[in-house]
Amino acid sequence: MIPWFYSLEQFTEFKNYKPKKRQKIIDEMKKNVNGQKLILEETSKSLRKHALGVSRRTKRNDKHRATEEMMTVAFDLKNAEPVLSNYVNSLLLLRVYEIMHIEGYEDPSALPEAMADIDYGLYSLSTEDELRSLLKQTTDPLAIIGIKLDE
Amino acid sequence: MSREVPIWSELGKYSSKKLNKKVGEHQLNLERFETSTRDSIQKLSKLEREIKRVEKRIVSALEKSNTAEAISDILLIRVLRIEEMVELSALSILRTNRFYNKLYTDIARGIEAGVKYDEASIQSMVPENLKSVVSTAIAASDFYDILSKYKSNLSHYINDTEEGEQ
Repeated sequence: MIPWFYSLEQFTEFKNYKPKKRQKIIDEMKKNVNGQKLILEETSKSLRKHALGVSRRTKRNDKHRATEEMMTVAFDLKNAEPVLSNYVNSLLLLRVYEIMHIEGYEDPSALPEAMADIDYGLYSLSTEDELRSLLKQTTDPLAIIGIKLDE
Repeated sequence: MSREVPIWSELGKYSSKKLNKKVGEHQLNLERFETSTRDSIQKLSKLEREIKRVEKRIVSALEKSNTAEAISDILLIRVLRIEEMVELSALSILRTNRFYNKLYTDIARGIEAGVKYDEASIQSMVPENLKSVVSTAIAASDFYDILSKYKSNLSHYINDTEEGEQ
């Protein structure tokens, strides 16, 4: 299990740090993850606001303003993509470090042979492309029903 | 890559005193990983409830022809599903560590009681479902079937914004 998002060196370094330093790294990462989540929550609120605007203007037959609002919604959805990618990377890294920080943690590569071949989900992926494609296939409701936002 | 020296071989060389010490250490590790596993499961249950709630809201908006409102929740559901997948993956590492510590203490106690172990016996102690796929498939849900019914409305909204809401 050596996912694309951290080098072996970075991983070994983290394990060798003293608990206090490890906790400091985790706290900093948490701050980033929370910041990214906040952006996504704000984008989501903005989407909702404009979506309600579309409904309201459509009911009033205010076609051009409704179109503008709809364009803003589509724009916000597409612009959220890079934040989403960063969010998943940061969250994955944060969770793995939090687990590594638990006393007695054993890396899957150091476990008995009988425990090989375990599926670690996103942690089993070896490239960022694989991660992106898996996430698209499993988390994007529009992609699942065949609508592509990136076209 | 797995550990080079099998557990039973390593533990078989220890004195009774050292074996007891090791059991004590791994018992504590086991408790830590049991607690973390419980926390992770709690987090997952909360996420799953939230996903269901938002899915319901999307379906309700679509049924009332409020396509734009449904679209606005799509980002939220993606964030929740990403968090669910990350947590499922984290749970897999926690579960593996929990099981490893359980295996270690069980083998140590067995060795102390004169039980002989080999690779095959260890293999049989590993539950098959520990190796099963985390979650690369969508959980069984009517949500995506329902969503498909409104595909043309949703698609129209994303790709063609000149016509106003359906």
